[in-house]
Amino acid sequence: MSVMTREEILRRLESPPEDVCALVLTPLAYDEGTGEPQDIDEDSIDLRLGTRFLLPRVHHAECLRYPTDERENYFEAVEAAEIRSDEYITIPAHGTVLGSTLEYLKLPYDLSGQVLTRSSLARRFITIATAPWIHPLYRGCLTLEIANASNTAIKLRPKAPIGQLVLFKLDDVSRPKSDRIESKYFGPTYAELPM
Amino acid sequence: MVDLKVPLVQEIEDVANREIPDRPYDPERIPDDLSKKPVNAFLEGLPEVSTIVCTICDDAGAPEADFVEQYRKIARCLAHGLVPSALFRRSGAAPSWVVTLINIAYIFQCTEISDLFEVVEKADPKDVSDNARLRQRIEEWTLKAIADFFP
Repeated sequence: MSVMTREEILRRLESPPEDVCALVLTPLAYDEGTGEPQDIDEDSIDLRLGTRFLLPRVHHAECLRYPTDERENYFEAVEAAEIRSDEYITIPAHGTVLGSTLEYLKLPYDLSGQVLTRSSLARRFITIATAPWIHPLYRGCLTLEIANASNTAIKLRPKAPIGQLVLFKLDDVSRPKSDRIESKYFGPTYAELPM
Repeated sequence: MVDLKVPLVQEIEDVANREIPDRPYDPERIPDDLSKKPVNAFLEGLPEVSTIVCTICDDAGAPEADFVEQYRKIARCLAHGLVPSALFRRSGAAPSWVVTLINIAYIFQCTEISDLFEVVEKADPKDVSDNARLRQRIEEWTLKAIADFFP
């Protein structure tokens, strides 16, 4: 397994989107001078915060049981919120919210991805991912568990750089005939409840 | 004013008002001519509607041309579970109208959703909840593309 470089990432982005080798990432900001994507670093892709969230709220039930509780029971445990790009989402001290990346992506059949918290956020006691592994051919926005471990509330604005995606090339995987994938969590554009 | 094809409107109403049988949904049991009637009626009436709109609005042909030009590209994205904005960013060609994107997604949903079922394992075209879920996804991807393009 090797880490994908900027050059390889740019090459994958140029493939037709339906191709099993294609990496899809949208929206991407482009440099007006060079015409190249701005969000691609030497060995990672910058991820930005989306606009829709699931906030935990006080639940009347004594507890939720995993994995036996019905999905419907979780509806009462969360509250959905959507904010404009010039507004802020507040994460209370020691609180967690579910958010998502602004970027919608599709991974090729031979790449896996790992989401990392940006170091500038980590230094503010924020972590953004506790289930950060992305499988080949996944498509959708990435759900982020944004946890504030500090003693102070923090406000985050949509489109702020929040994470980094590192892509790994898998060795010895055979090329599938199509980009067919399992239906669970297929194509979400915002954080969703567990299925 | 030109008559807006009252019989066609009637046909669409007839289909909309038909009795829904109390049995599991099965698209194969709907007679082919019945399932195609509303689309055919729409396509038959389209040139006339287009002529009327062109007489009322300046430059009304542009969205129509935009639709024709962009249809295959956007449909290809939707059929592979992708937000269509991905395509335009690479080609540098964005649709001129939000309406184009919405119209294409709607027509794709009506006529080519089976292509999307092909890429989703265990999704059954005969299952109402699978149908509803994928149709909702198409809506979400369209809204996301609009948000990406026209912030």
